[in-house]
Amino acid sequence: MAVHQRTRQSEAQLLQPKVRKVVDLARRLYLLELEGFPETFRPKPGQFLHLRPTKEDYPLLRRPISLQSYRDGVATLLIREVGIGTELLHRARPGDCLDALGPLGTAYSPVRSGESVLMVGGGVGVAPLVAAALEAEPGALVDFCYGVATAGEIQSLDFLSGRENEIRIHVSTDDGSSGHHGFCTEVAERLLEERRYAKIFTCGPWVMMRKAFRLGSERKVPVEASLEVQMGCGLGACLGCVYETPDGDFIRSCIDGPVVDGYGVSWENH
Amino acid sequence: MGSLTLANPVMPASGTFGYGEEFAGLFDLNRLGALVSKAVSTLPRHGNPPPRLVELKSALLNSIGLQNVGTQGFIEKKLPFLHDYSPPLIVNVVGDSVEEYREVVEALDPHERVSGFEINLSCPNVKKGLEYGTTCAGVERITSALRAGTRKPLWIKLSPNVSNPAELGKAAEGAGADAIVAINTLGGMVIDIEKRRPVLGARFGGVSGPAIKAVAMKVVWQLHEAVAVPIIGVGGITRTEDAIEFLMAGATAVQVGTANFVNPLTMIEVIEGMREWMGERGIKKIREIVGAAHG
Ligand SMILES: Cc1cc2nc3c(=O)[nH]c(=O)nc-3n(C[C@H](O)[C@H](O)[C@H](O)COP(=O)(O)OP(=O)(O)OC[C@H]3O[C@@H](n4cnc5c(N)ncnc54)[C@H](O)[C@@H]3O)c2cc1C
Ligand SMILES: Cc1cc2nc3c(=O)[nH]c(=O)nc-3n(C[C@H](O)[C@H](O)[C@H](O)COP(=O)(O)O)c2cc1C
Ligand code: FES
Repeated sequence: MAVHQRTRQSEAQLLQPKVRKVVDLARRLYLLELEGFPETFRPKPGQFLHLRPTKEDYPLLRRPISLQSYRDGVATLLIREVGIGTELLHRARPGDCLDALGPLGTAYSPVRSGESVLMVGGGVGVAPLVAAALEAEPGALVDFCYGVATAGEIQSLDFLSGRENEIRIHVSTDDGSSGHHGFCTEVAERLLEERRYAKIFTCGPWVMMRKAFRLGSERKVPVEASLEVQMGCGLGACLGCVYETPDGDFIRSCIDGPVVDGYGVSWENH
Repeated sequence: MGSLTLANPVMPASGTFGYGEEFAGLFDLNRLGALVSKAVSTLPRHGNPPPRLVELKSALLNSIGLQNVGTQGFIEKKLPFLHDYSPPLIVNVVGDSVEEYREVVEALDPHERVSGFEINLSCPNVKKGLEYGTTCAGVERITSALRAGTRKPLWIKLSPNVSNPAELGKAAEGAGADAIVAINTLGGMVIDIEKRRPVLGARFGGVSGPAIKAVAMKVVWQLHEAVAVPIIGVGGITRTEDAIEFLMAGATAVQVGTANFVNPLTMIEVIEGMREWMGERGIKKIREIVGAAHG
């Protein structure tokens, strides 16, 4: 476990966690469990690891992956295999050492006692929301809209229940094989009609987040969204990962994001 | 490096290391041979619309477009932090006109912490900058104008997107450049066939990373035969052996760019690796291997 100095700018460190387990959930969808982090590794919900899939020159860049949970020294990542990098990570075996930079980026705001928060996540976008729900204070209420393509892709979130707060999972599937038949934003809309939420957290495909943002903005509810932008360094140095604000500014999503105020994103420009 | 002496020949390539702060927590910046800033223009620049990065096979295509805080922003927000570190600080300068380059150089020249300037003639992302970098007359004109504006080391950074880089190097040397930096990124683009559109917001970008090393090597080789001033080799360096190859082609120092994104410790590993490599072969001075491949 080689650990280098902490940054002034962020708490990012170069880490060499060991693979504990690779759990297949569905075809090309898996959980990667990592362990062997130092004491100083204290990720916040919404932050990510920048993982190097190989020591070779191809694929070249690191891959940003959200931390779904960090409990008892074990970090769990929820990964969809979409290309060469996530395929190589899928091939990792228990005991393998990975090259990870992190934790990086901004976090979701804390879910306080007495607050009701609506979480809207699609696909692997649920990962940082699970992290946020896990950190919810006792006495908080979380309505968690969990959207996937089909029932086989749902992971068990039992570890979210039996806590001193109320976390209600509302599953929706595109094919109707489990829960609501349709989009998770439809479930979110229904919930918003029944209850006043302190804030909405969202992560997933752009169109889904845009819908979640509109639902929130129509009701003047604060929205925090986690953006997925192609990244280079992950450290704020290359200016490659910028997104545009309504004022026309370019903001780095690795340092000033990925979790950002939904009202500071140009949702139409994409 | 002209009037500059470096503790070691390894430094970051402009634009891949921010203004240093971003990497300061991962290793001690004092271990670097020099610090090289992101491009600085007179006024702050927004840069190009996203997307700005596309990953290629063993390479990266970028169209950052010289987003930067501007000269005043650099002085107020970035310089104070850099005062805490000792390696020479080289400021990368861009402009849309000879006057703009000169304004930046003259505004920064009085600052003691600024050790020298690297003139970016070659960024393929901006339209007008390229002209200065493609003809001998253009390179001469801008180099002599800037030479008149500063006595500090003046490095001219060349574009590979020209047919005669060595002659441009010679033109820069003739007009008073203290060193030639080669190369900047190679112009390129990628098209999304489903959307039937270029992927980059700015359409074109610059290719960097391991895949361009061979291109950079040839330019450094040719420069070594054409100029007497030191050459700083840059392009695709990821490991010790790459840096040594550049020295043997004729470089006196090297810059590491894209590799910083992949392994932030690349420069430190190359510094240590070179020391070891030379030690094992009884090589005492870098000078002994500079240009060694020319026979
Ligand atoms: C902050 C953040 C958190 C993320 N968290 C997760 C997560 O928890 N689980 C998960 O499965 N995926 C997550 N992603 C997306 C994941 O990074 C990409 O799917 C992955 O990089 C794809 O790499 P690849 O080599 O398999 O695919 P390729 O298509 O071969 O990748 C080519 C290039 O495009 C980039 N790229 C491709 N898709 C994306 C994307 N959706 N977003 C950003 N860059 C992309 C890659 O990094 C690579 O540089 C996250 C992205 C970001 C920005
Ligand atoms: C994201 C990025 C930003 C860059 N910005 C600058 C810049 O501001 N000024 C400049 O002279 N070169 C810039 N460059 C070019 C590099 O300094 C270097 O010349 C080039 O990337 C080749 O080296 P490499 O293969 O090691 O990356 C940039 C390169 C990248 C990848
Ligand atoms: S990824 Fe380099 S600045 Fe964000």
